[in-house]
Amino acid sequence: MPPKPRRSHYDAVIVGSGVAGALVAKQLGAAGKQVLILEAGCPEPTNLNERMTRFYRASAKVPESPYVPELFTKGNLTDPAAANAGRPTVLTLKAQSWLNPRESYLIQNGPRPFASTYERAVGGTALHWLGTSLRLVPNDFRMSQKYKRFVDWPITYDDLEPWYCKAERELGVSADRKEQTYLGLTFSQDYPMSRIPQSLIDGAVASAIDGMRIDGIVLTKDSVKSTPAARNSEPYQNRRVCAGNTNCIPICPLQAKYDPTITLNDALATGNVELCHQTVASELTIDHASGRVTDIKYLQYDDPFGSQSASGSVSAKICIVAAHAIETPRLLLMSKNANSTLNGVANSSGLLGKNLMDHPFYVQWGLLPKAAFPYRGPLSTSGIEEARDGGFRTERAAYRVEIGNEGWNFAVGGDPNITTVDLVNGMNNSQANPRKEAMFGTNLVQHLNNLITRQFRLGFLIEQSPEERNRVELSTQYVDHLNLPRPQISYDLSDYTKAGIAAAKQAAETIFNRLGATQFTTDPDPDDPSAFEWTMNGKPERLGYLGAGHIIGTYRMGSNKLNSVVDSDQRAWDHSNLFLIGSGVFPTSATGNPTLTIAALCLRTADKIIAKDLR
Amino acid sequence: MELSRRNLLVGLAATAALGTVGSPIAAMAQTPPEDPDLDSFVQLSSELTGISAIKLSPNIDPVNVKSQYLKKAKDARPEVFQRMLQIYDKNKADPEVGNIIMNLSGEDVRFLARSIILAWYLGAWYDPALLQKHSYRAVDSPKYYYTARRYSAEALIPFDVISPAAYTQGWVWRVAQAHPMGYSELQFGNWSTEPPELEKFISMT
Repeated sequence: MPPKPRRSHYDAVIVGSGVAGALVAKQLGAAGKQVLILEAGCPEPTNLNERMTRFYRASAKVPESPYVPELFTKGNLTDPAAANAGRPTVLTLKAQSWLNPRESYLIQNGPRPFASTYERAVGGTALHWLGTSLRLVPNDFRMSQKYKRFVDWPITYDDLEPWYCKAERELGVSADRKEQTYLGLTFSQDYPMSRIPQSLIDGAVASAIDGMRIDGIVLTKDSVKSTPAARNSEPYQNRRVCAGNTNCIPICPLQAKYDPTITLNDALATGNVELCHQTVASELTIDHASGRVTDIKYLQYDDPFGSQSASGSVSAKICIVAAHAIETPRLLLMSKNANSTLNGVANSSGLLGKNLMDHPFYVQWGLLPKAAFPYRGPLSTSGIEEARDGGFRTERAAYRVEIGNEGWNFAVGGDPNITTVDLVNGMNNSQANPRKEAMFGTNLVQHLNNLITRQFRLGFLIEQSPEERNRVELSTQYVDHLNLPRPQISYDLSDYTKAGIAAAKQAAETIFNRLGATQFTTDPDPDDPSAFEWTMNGKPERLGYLGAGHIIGTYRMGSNKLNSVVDSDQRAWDHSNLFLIGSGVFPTSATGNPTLTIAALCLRTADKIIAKDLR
Repeated sequence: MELSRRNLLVGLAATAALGTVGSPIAAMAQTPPEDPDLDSFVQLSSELTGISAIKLSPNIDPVNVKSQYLKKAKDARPEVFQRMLQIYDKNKADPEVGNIIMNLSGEDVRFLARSIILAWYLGAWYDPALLQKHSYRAVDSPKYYYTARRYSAEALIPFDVISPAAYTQGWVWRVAQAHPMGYSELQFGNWSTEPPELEKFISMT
């Protein structure tokens, strides 16, 4: 049963208990402000074993597998129309599902699939994030000024630098300051913990790329950098050090990796913050005379698939929507105020929901010439960062390279199972058993050991250009179980982004050659909706992408109310007491994983709210 | 906040303690009577998996996945299972006993044996009939294997994880000189050095 709000009026109501909402709640609560968090999804189980057990038992160990609502109902994918707080899941992205509203929560309007997913649960999507905590580089904030592309952010790297430092402490980031001083990054403070040790695979890549050129950049073995990660390299915040479970996504069994429930617990411990889970915000009410948000209406449910059990409304001095870059515009678009805000709240610019972005993820995989022992350590411990910025950004997207420690686990859709079944049953789904031998006994042990210990993959997070046609709208046809319209997504890749994917493919092939690695990367399926054709070295190639889980851009920040939805404080231009926070405010996607920047912006916004709005 | 793996380990230690105290009441409450086929099943499994019997069935075995796998195999194909055990018992002195079971005793026995190998390696149950079906379909290898086919029943054989404990006991992880994803008993930083030799993980037959 969801709790009821204990008051009718608060200093602040926050919609969403993910990393953004939790950080702001903690700051406001610590400053003595009365805060209510409304969370659409279910609470944490009282014992984390419940999640671990669900994960261990799952056949498809996808990011959502430890969490509720259950992915399957009676053996079939759960119908999103039956869920009170549905969400997109990895299993609903396959060719047969992504356009099927009985399987896909998102109503995908095409032409290509939006391939990232999110959670609606206490703690939000960072329940299953990787932990990567890179800062964006200075030129990421000034793409227009520097490269005549897209728009500039209304703040600079220097504005955000002190907040990055605070965010790194709040999340607990392990990294080496000197190693991270590249592409103009500066640091006013050290990281709170020393860096995460690099894997043997990282070492192999470092030796291979020494002297290699990509895009005019000469790489050295120091170009393979230990990735800053919100993962304990020392005991921190009463949490243990990483034991290398190789399971950051979907779940760290030790909480050695930060997740937002840590901040939420701190927030609740201030005694000033309340959390109502299973409570779906359904409309923001606007007072037209003042332009302020007066009330937040909500619906409650007892059972994830049961009927609505209650409804209500609360008022607050300020309202903060922190529901991520798809549910936030959805709530604002649903807030029609008896048709007096027909185009939604905070939408005088007409930009609300537009410029949806991700980091399209390009993967190559193969076998190393000798064992480097994957399936150990965090899922990724290093990356190559130099290609995140450069003159080429006038022409094509930048990328960052993520070196995987999980072999072919997700590259082939669930190794080591795929390769093992191939060898035992004389099949070749992995492509690693071309003679389709069926093995047993010592022969099986030796072959399997020889293959799995050499498995290797590289991932590329591609910068995606902002495009207004990539957008979130409300479905006019499909609703969830609370009868609220589901999000409808239109999504495509621009040539700028596609050229970045092509450049990534080229770089990957060069690295594979230098490693002496055998390629196993396959072309996209004929019916793969993500596939596109691109001419490389004079011949057509088929390329595809996955989602990075980085949902960006649908309520961008900017310098004025015509070119953006919020200002640099994440305050809605149209409503002085409304804040829209999270990666939805990013005007451009850059290439760094977004969570640390979300955290820095949120700590900065909380500070302004305390100093000004709730003084 | 209580941590899951710690709880699991505490649970295991408690079970192990019960098993070794030797109190008949505790033992009866803890374990049902042992299946008379268990020893043969473990010996046979060692032959099929390439992993030594003492590793598959250690003296102190609180997790006891072997009984789960035995029951799974018996329940799946009772008659074939008994036939397989008889073939094994008759030929166990023959160094070719593995080959006899896998290749010279008919398809029923072969595919049940493959299911048993996969149970030990992956903690998952692949139905012998599905293995049989896919093994013939595999004549044309799927050239395309990128995003869209992932997790689809056309390319991948559906399976059930036998139990949460079975997942954490999968031998493939040890054969990889690694640990089950989400169940590491290793120390911080272990990934930056070479793991122990394969033999230390599995004691090959």
